[in-house]
Amino acid sequence: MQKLKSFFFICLVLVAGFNLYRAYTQAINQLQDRTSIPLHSLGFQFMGLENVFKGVRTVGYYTDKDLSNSLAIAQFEQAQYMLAPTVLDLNPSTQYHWVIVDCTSLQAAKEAIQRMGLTPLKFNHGIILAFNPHGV
Amino acid sequence: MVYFLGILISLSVGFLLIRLLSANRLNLILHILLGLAVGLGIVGTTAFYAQILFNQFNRFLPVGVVVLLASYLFKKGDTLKCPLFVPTHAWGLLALGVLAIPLTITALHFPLGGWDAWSCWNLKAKFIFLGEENWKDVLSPGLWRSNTHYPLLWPLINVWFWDLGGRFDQAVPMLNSILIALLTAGILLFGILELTGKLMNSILVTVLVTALPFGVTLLISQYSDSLLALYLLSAFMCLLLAEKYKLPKLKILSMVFLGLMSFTKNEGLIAAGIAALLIFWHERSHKKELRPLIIAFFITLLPTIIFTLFFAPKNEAFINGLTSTEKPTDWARLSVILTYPWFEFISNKWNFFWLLALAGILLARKKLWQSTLGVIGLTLVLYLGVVMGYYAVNTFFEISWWLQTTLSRILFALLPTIALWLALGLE
Repeated sequence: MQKLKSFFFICLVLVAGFNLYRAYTQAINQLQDRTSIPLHSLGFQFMGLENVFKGVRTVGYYTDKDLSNSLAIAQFEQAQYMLAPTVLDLNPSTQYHWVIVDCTSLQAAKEAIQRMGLTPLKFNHGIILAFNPHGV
Repeated sequence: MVYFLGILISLSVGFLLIRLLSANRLNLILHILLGLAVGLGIVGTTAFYAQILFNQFNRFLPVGVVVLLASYLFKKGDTLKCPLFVPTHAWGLLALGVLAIPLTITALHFPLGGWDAWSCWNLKAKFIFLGEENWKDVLSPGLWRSNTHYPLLWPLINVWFWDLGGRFDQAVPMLNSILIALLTAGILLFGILELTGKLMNSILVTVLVTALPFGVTLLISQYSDSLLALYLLSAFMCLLLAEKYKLPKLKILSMVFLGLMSFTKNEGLIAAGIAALLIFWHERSHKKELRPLIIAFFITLLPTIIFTLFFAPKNEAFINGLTSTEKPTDWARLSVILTYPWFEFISNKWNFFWLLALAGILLARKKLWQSTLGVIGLTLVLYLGVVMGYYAVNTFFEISWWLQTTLSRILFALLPTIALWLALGLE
């Protein structure tokens, strides 16, 4: 039993050492590579809108993107994080004053804006901020 | 600077509480680490009460708690003699310093944390802090993706720091994730050292758990799972220290940690319930000691009860597979649940941890299932059993995807406690 325990202790030393080595290697790689953070950059295109939405509790967020795609849902959730405490109502009817339109193409966005009777106000990196004159 | 003031206030709350319960028997470092861990939980729950009572946080409330505890100790005639610092502890601090480097670099690499940090935990914190009188919008049905029914301790701890600084600052949850990781590592290291007296073993076990690269990523992801891991470990550590030093009052601190853990996540509530019931059963012969334990547990459980009964919306991501005809629990689902964990255990991301744990369980034999270690072992087994049962009953999510995204986090939160359990079982 004592021999087994000694063998276990040696394994513990090896695995702990291996973990530490791997943790440092991972950290050094991260120091050298500052580009591998794609999800974080998704929210930056919504920056600045929080000033427009000051005091607004809910705005609409219209998208024609496939929300089973993790990148599309990540973009929506990053937008929600950037713009909190304003709630983004995903694919709403036309009840809100403000609607963020995030479509797969400019043409699709224009059609959606026309269909919902909105007025486009601001365009930034494929995201359109539109105003709904009939919203509440 | 303000961040460190927040740490100092949280530490003072916890330090004084532990002084009240431990009669100065813990070593200085362990006293500080456990004090900060419990202090952060107390300021978080204070923030919760302030939010529900006054619709906004009051930064002076935690200071009031410090003054209250200090004056109580003063009235009791407690001398302000500092607990002892043992020079050999410097090696433990050095080990923590070595572990802090990869943690800090990784945290800086992911300043917004992992997916659930910005889609759930920190999102809640932003709503509570910036929403002012409309902070309850955090519970809006439209935000169901952020698990609106989950409790709020991690967000509220961040809110407390933001409130103290007077502004939202993304650096706070990032720094807090490093802090929680180092507190967990420190309590594991100095706790095992205190219980066994073996410095090398305590350092090795701590490095094994904290330097696991997959664990490093989760630790700095700004998820509530880290807080759950910290409080589960701290609860059992206090229980073991209470028995070693014959300090029944320290068991109260153990219950405080369990109560706080229930406010971290719904999984924390399950683990806290199981652990508390087993501890009550374990202490059943000490009738006099049992009562304060039950009271302490329910006092610290109160925020969770209030939140669950009066604030938490219905879980939109739940389908009861036992009654549903559309998505019933079937044999295919059960077979995935029964087989997937074994593939998880041998997955590369764990770097042989589970194989080592299995070897440790076989080597330690009966010792792991006796007395207080038995309570820890049973808690782990029952908790994992309940989690597996929940995977089977809730058929809202496709099971392979759900297991892939969540099981590793459930296991990650148990690592420090499993390491403590095995370290003592193999002593």
